[in-house]
Amino acid sequence: MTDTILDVQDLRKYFPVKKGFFRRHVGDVKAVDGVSFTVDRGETLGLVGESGCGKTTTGRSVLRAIEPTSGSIRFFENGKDPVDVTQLTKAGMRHLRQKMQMIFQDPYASLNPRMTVEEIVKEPLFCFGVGTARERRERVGELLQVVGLDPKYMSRYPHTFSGGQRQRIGIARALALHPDLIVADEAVSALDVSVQAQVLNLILELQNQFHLTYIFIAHDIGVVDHICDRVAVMYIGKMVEVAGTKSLFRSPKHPYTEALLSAVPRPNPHYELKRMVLEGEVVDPAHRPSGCAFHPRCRYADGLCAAETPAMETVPQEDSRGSHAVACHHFKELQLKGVFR
Amino acid sequence: MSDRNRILEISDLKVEFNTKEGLVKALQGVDLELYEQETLGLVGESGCGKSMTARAMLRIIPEPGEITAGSIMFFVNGQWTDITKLHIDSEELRAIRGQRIGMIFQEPMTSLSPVHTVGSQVAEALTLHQTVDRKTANNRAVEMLSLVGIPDAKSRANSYPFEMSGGMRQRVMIAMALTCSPNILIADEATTALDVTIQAQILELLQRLQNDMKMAIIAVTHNLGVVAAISQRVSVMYLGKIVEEASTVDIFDDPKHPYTEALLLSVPQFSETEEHHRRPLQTIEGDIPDPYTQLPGCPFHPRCTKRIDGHCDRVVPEMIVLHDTRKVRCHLYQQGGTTT
Repeated sequence: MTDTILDVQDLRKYFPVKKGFFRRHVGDVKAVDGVSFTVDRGETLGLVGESGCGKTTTGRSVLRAIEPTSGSIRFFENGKDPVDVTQLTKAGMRHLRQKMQMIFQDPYASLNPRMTVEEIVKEPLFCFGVGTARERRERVGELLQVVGLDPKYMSRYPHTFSGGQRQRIGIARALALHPDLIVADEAVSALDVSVQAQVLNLILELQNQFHLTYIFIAHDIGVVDHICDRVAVMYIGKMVEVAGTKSLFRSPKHPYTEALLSAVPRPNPHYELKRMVLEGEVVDPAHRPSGCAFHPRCRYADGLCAAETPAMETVPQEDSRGSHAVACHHFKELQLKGVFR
Repeated sequence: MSDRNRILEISDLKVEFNTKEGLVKALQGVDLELYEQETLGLVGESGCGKSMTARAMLRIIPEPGEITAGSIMFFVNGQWTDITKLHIDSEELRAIRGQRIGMIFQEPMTSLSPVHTVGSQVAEALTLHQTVDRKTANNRAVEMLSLVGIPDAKSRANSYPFEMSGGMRQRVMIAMALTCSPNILIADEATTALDVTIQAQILELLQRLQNDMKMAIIAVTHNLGVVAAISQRVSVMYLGKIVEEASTVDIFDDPKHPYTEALLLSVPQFSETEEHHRRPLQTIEGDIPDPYTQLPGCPFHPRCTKRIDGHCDRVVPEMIVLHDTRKVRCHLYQQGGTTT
């Protein structure tokens, strides 16, 4: 009885490359190149990958903070017919924005320094004409309490708060309109570890309290392992593997996932960092290699990998941890290592 | 560890910033030693003074900060020199800076000149410190670039930083810092801005170069995973002081200071079981206090779960030597104090 909240099919976002005096269109940076996934109500889906893999573009396209080039994004509002976010008019989009919110990485850049905390958190309420002035003020107090800030600091400006507290302000703002889906883009990456743990706990707690669904974009695999139910791994604009967190991290099926996991340093001196030979750099999405984009860096690659793009296939599961899908020609033959080896 | 030779000894180092808003005591008496060819991890959260300690060694503390007390003894050319006593424009300091002690920074884009080729920037490090002609310097630069794993170094030497990826730029920084074969390399958050796959490559590179060039590394970082991977000893800093010092294995397996312990527990770890999955993480209560406030007693006491009321908030703890490689600054380990 899965209850889908978001169904993304074949999402693409191309940024045109223009050259010369006439700004001739010479090609595209395929930031997101045919990504499909679904998100269930109340779950946390992690999006991981190296910089430039398109995880942020995917997250932003879902909210239409970036206009996708093509594809469909169906959003299922509770008890209503699904709507395709990409087809909505301005007014329809405005309504939907209440249901979908975003938390940003940089708590210094995402809050207006000239607005007080009260104004910042109140702004979404004001935009949507929620309640009277007095009710709005009460709601701000309530929201601040929910995220663990003392409402008496309401009239202060963001610069008087620490990084962790600012991130809480950003979360309060995102919660103001009772959203169903929150896209958290590197929401804890800029925080110190002790503060990061506090904010992660808050994110988990709010999910239970308000039945939130998260798309959690992060590059820190440890954090993703801790808070996500399912994880999607991206590589140059495409998803290469999607699975339940434990299944993905214990028995990855894509060589890229394996290499990524092997490169994560652990806070454990007995663990020897034996990264897989992953030579070379992340390939620039403007010059995507043929076939499987990972093949130039992959140690298992053969002729087939360079020639044909692998399709997403479902992996037969030994246990019933939910579905595991991978886009690799050789996943059946490969015995890959996960985080425990 | 102690049978090896010391090459750096910092004692009671204090750095203060006299700003309009008030006096910031960035370093409040740092003691640190470094042995030949070892890697020392200097860890802590933002504002703890780890970068300031590293910068003090090269006397590149930003204005209006100044060293108000303490010494930084550096063993070079067969004798001990106190870096804090050198004149800021002196030849001796210039000879140490960049030549005997190299440094790599977090953001390779802002630390490289955008208008010079990477080859000329690496060569400059050499011509500044040694009497070599330009041709030799350029050849050496290409050699260094290929040593740090830049493919096709000869032609890449003519590239500008903006033409390179973050990982490649960081390699250029390393090449620059190492051209003069320094005795100490300070890596200040050197891999923080990089992707994990590239980070792993750079960490491997640093370890390889350390073996080849026989240098000591001070790895300044907040990433406990990086520290565990590359350092033999760790110093943990909190608010301008070193609160614990031990071998890497001891720090991670048996942390003594409540701050170290709490810090380790707050990092999400891969667990074999699902029992911790999506469960609340251990946290350290409260925030790092702002730099203008001077807390009485142990600076960690307001956030500490093991504090002894009436003692920790009044008396400043001394560094207690548990045995020759372990030191901790905490009242819990004082003789006669309660231990848990």
